Amino acid sequence: MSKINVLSRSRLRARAISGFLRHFIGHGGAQLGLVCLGFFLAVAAMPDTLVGPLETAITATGDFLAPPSRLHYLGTDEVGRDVLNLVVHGARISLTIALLATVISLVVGTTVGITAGYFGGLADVCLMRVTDFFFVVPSFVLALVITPVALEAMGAGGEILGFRPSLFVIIVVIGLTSWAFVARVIRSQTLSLKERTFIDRARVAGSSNTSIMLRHILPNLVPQVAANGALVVANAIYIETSLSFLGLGDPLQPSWGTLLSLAQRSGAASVGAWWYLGAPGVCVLTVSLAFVLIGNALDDTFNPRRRVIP
Amino acid sequence: MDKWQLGRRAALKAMLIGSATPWIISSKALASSCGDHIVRLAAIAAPDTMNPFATWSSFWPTVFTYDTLVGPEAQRHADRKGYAKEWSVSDDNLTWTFKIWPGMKWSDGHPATAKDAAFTYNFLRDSIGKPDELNVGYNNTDGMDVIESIKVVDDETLQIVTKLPSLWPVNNFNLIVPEHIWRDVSYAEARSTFRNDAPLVGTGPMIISEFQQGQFARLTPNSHFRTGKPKTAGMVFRFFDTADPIAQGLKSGDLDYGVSLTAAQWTDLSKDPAFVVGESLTPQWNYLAFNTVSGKGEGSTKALQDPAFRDAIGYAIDQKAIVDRAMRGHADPGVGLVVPMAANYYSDLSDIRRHFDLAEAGRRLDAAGYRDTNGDGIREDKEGNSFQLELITGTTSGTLEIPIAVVQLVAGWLGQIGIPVSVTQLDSGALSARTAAPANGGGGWDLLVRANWLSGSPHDLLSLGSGKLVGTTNKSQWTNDKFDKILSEIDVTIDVNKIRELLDQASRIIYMEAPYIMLCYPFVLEARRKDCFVGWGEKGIMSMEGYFPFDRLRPI
Repeated sequence: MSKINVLSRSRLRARAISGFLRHFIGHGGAQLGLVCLGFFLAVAAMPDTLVGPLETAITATGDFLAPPSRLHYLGTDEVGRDVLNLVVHGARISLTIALLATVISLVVGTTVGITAGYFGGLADVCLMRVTDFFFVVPSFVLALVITPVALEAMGAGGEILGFRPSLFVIIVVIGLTSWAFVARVIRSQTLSLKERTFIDRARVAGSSNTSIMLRHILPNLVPQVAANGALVVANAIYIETSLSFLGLGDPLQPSWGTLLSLAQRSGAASVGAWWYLGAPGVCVLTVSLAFVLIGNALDDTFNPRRRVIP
Repeated sequence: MDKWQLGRRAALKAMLIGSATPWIISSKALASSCGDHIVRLAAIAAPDTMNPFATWSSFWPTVFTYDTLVGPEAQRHADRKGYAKEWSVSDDNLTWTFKIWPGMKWSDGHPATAKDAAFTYNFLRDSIGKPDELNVGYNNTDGMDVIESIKVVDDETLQIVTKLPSLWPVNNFNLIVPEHIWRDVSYAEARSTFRNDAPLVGTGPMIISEFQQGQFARLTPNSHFRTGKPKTAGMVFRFFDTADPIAQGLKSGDLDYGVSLTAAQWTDLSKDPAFVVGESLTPQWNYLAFNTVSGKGEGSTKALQDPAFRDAIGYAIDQKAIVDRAMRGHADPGVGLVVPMAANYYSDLSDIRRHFDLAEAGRRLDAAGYRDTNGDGIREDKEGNSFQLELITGTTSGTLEIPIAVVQLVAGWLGQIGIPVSVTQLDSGALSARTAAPANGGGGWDLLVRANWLSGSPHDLLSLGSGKLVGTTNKSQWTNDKFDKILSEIDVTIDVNKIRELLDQASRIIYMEAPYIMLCYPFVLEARRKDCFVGWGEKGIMSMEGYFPFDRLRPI
């Protein structure tokens, strides 16, 4: 009996996953998003093999702000570095920042959301007011205020978890300012989940609150976390770009935002150096669009109410 | 029903026309800005008040309205006089006599006499030692302690007696303000709250008639100007915080003159026959400073306090590459404290000058005891800690921006000799706070890439190493008794040859000890349109130190 049960459970799971994948991949937007994302992940994974080591002002050989040519497919910047080289190396930094910031944001958002929804009462009120604060204050403005302060406070050299402090600060700041939306969604879903009978059953069986939250509620929240996560990444890329554009990035590790900032400071826009502004700009646009498309597709797939009835 | 539709359509058309009209009108105005004979200029600047006692940032536009008594400009160019027409010094070099322009008037018609000049100087001098001493703005008490007396002989003659021989009476750049406007202003007000709102009253060629902070100043010709009312119909000086709108404004014909351009924009405009581009020397230093403080506020390693370490780093900095790559040739390579703009005093220190050689830098570090003993490619200091220096940088207000490529180069070279550097960019306020004297809460940084723009006067040229200016101008906080002695000696010397000799001695002391590595002396980049006005400067389209050429500019 139990053997049959296990077999059918695993088969059920496999069928559910394949059904989900079929649905998800069938989505036109998801396909486009996955292709774009796959391309940029590949680029970020092996920049050195694609375009050689990161060019610096010391190793730069090109002319100043030269337009695209066979020598430099995306032209050069104001110190003669190859823009293609910079954009490809920037992909790794931009994506790393965005993904790590998203992880932080999801962890904080989910924790706050589940705790508030599950316990209710005073814990809910307190946590939700904090969430409201981060919800109402535009996260970019908050990040803009926190970053220089944090940079000044943590500014001492060295590396924190393998990142330069200025990058680390940006990751943490983005993560800590963009979780409010996630927390709201997770809380509302938790409120509905905790009234279900399987939660009651677990409680009667003697599970602790932590174990109920982690083992019974959290797995049921995966769709929400995944769909929102994709949207948070897109937002994180934007915030990272904007912060770096305003000169708060690390000038030695060019992210796309830093490149845009350098382009603006060198006056690329007014001398018609479209390749210098355009290349990182298109990259930011494409990657964030890819994440939005994937996020929407995930949402569509998971959420039966949004499904078109055949 | 039909009628109603017609009415709606007519209303829509009216709205469309109404919204398009100002656009059409303004675009016409853009197309021919010459017609109204108003000079339009723009710069990266952020003037905050028209009160020269309260701010350093309003040099533009107040310099067009107020005159200096003599100042650096009048000593270099016979046709760019200030408030005084002539000046002379007695044989003992102590008594200076200034002849004020006879019959000169303020822009409101009041006579402008020696009394106003004496009032301005006495206003400053009497504040010395008081709680509200006037030492926070462009009009400043700095250097006034050498003055023995200021005397009005008659309306056209001012006499300044100094305690020791000093060039202060001709070199100071305090702006002379009218007594009849300023006599009721208290020191506390002059230091801060008195805004000196437009329209101003001055003796310069162009009078500020409207000032909008963060936007523009409108200036009208001074009909009482001593050499005749300027021929143009006025000026509009626009303030920006980036160079893009300036370059765009020049191209679209919206601006006649723009300064603070980037190298890329300058090159672009130089190819266009409608423009004349120019570059001027400035007294700006772009330097690398070491935090030489020991004790509270010291950097991450004691090596920063060791002249041998700093000297070795000097061999790892290629000033020529900085000029060629980062500044695109628009700078002179850095050497010592004396800027090339001060041509009388400049020396390239060729006999003691360090040359770029990474291997030599490495040898010198080895010799000084900073070796890589554990073989990880990173050197260790004498305490055995691996080097990891923090470089802070940022643009301070009132200076030309340092291209970030300069920092990339410096960090790159140091990395190549086994001294890794992390970079933090700070805004102007945070940078001042971090680099203040430890007693004021500053310190804790290792390296600093920063710019400073003072003047080409001997006193200012030595201020980077002055013991009195620790934490304000002297960011590395290095002090040296011999250097300070020369500095006080130079303040009371007026013989050019003697000054040059003293400057050379002081430059050599600080060069050998290397608390600063001079990176470059940048040029200011400017461009003007050819179509509307004539009379601009040939070498240096607009003066960076005075009102030139707005007294003589005329429409075509």
